[in-house]
Amino acid sequence: MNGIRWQQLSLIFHDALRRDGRARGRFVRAACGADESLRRQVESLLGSYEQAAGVFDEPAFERAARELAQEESAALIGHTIGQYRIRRLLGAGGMGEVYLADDGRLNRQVAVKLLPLHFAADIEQVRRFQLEARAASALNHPNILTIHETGEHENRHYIVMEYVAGATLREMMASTADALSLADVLDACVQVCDALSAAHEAGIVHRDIKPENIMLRPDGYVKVLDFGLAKLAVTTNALTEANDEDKTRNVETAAGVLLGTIRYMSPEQVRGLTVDERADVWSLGVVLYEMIENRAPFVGATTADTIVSILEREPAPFTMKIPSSLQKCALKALDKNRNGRFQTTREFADELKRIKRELGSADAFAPRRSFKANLSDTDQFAREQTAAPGELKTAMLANASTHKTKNALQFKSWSAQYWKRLVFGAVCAATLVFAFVKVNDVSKPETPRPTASASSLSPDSAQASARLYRNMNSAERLAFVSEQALRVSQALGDGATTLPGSAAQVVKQHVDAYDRRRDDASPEAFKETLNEIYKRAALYAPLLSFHFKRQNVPALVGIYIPMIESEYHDCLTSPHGAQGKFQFMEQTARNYGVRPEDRCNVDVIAPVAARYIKDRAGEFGTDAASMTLVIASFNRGNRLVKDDLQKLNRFLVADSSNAKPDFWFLLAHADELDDQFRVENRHYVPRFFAAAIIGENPQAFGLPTRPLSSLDAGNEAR
Amino acid sequence: MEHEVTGLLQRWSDGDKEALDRLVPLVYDELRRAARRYMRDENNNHTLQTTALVNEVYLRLVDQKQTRWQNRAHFFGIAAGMMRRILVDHARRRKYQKRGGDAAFVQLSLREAEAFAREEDLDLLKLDEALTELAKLDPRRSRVVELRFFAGLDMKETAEALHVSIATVLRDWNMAKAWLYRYMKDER
Repeated sequence: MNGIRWQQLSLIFHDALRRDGRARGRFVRAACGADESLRRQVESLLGSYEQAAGVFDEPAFERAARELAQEESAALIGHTIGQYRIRRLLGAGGMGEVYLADDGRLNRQVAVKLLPLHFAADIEQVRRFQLEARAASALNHPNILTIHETGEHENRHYIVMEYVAGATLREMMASTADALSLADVLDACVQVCDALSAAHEAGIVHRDIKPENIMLRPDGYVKVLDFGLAKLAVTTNALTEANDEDKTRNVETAAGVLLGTIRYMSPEQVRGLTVDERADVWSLGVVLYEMIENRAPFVGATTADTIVSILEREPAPFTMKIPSSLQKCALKALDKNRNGRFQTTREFADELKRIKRELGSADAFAPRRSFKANLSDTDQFAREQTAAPGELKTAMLANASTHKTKNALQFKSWSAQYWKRLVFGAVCAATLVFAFVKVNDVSKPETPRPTASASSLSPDSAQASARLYRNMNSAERLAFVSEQALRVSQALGDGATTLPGSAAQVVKQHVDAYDRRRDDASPEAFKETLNEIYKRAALYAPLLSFHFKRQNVPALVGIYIPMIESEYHDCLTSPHGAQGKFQFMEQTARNYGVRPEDRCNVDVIAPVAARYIKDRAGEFGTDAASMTLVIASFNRGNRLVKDDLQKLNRFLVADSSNAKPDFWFLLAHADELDDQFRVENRHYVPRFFAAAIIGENPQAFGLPTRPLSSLDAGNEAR
Repeated sequence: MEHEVTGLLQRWSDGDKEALDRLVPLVYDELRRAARRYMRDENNNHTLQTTALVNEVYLRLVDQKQTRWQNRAHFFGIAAGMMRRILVDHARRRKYQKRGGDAAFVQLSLREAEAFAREEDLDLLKLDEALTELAKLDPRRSRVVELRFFAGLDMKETAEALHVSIATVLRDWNMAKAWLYRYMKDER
């Protein structure tokens, strides 16, 4: 189309647009005269104009902004902030983004929260926040999320926290069609009360209790997050105060931040008055109401309306059928006058517990059971627990597969939804157990077991005890580690391979690290001292021993995998007190018939762990190399384990010099494996060796008991 | 920074092509920073004030006392072009991913999914192509779309940026929309 033609076309088009309906048609026909092609052009453009209405009206700009921001988030993946390697975005909100990261120094997963830039403006404020966050974390309460560290990266403050594989109460409520069961609601609230009580007694008020700040783990455990963060957030004065740089935008944003939180604010907070623990009682009251009713008690179309509702209105009457005592309890927490509320979260919790008892669900507070334990299942579980020891194990094994199908039907939707979420997203630390076992040499399963003490990896342990590891110099330590590592290899089924010096070095580093935890837990590392780990392990040894022995799997695997996974907190305070555990991918746990509520049940996990290891060993062999790879791949889930091992096997074929692979083979080829595997497992096997060396040489580390594998498990199986 | 950008804008509007090359990355970085800040501060419920972000970037980068009004127009011109490029690259990547180019396709957050879904309504790659065609026929109209659609300028700002009347912008905008829509539809 030439320029003149285009000009013509546009003139007629614009004039036509000023006319409507038939007048438009007449105008176009008149204006184009005999020029048919021009008329068609104009008419088709006019038609398109009508159709295009609205198409370009929303600028693509917003999308571009999001895109830019996402690029930024994506850009962080794979990079390090301090010692933390960022793996993926877990979530984002008004308070910044949270990433899953690997802690390179301590070889664990953590959550790193990057605070919004504007939070950094007031240094004094940031400092106060850090003090408070750490103070809450230092309470060491199982319902308070642990803060590992706070720091600054490119002008942004970050908080390194315990990683919890779970969902926030908000996500939970949003993803569920049905309301939570009453027992769930009460249980969650009691746990939040427990966390708050501990904080309040230390003089810390949370100030921002809301569903986003309450996390639920698959095992029913509740974690309260973001203590102290509210102090950093925009407060009520943000409504009137705007940053001078870009007033419009900031006022809007400030209001937005408030919007998210304001529904949970107490009248005194909304008024900007001083706040005490009773403000947390109110906020939790709002959460309780919302969990029951699936809607917030105080809402309005605008921030101002919401504020009015909080200050003036009574919550809408309950529509759900709940006991009147619970109604009264929730409304008491929501008394506009704080003197009329529960004066402490303990009082609140006591009342909730009383209601729970009144509901007649005696088992509901058996604490660390899943929210969703179905009553009939629970009964069965109780029966099984009282069965004779031998019978129990058999029963559990036999039931494993039936449980799988049964569960699918019996979990209520909340649990099912939750479970499903995990399939999509997070790695679920599935289970746990602890125990002990004798060395069970798979390569020679038919060989009669030697006497208990002789089965220890360190027959000369008496000699070793003469010399404490801590008193050895570096060369002596290395020699000790090399020798003991070989023994571990042999116990896993190997002939006498020589351990490369570099390998011994790596193992030594881990032994050193464990040794440093001898009697005093580093506050930033795991909470347990070496002594505690050891004592705990000894407690559950007999059961694991029993099951690994049954499956002809080296007992060392059963003993030391859980031991090195002690930084996973999933079952921290399970009735069994087990902190270390076998961690299964959620899918794997399901395949093996582990019900979510049994993840922390040592009786269920012990046989499953043994079966799992045996299955893998069945696929890849029972020599030490294969066993080592199975250990390395342990927390990968069975499908990934297969992939990993097949990949490694290909390297093996390609590199004939590695005809007899040991775990150094894995390290040597680590770069060819995928990121996650590499990061997770670079230290996994060496650490396993380190744990075994210590566990088998307790005297050298000043530990009070016998070598773990020498504990006679045969007749101690529960 | 302020002086640098102001000076570069000045030189560019005086005809120094090199100045533009140096300007682009500066503006891009600042846009990116502003977008980040915006996305972080935003509390889910807000729609973006379309010009706020570019305005913010402009205010941040350019010394107001030292600059002529044309600089602002030039600045927005640059920003619009960048936004177009960002979006088109993004659309291209998405298309690639949809064909299975990236097996490890990450789950989309709800927000991303929403943005993604809206994107389906309008094929940005097609729009980019159409806009390039339009520029051959009528550079000014193509520019109007760029400023309005990609940089989110309103009629008045677009008129200022292009140094034409608001009525002209309105006419250009209407015509361009119709023409682009027809092009995109016919090409399908």
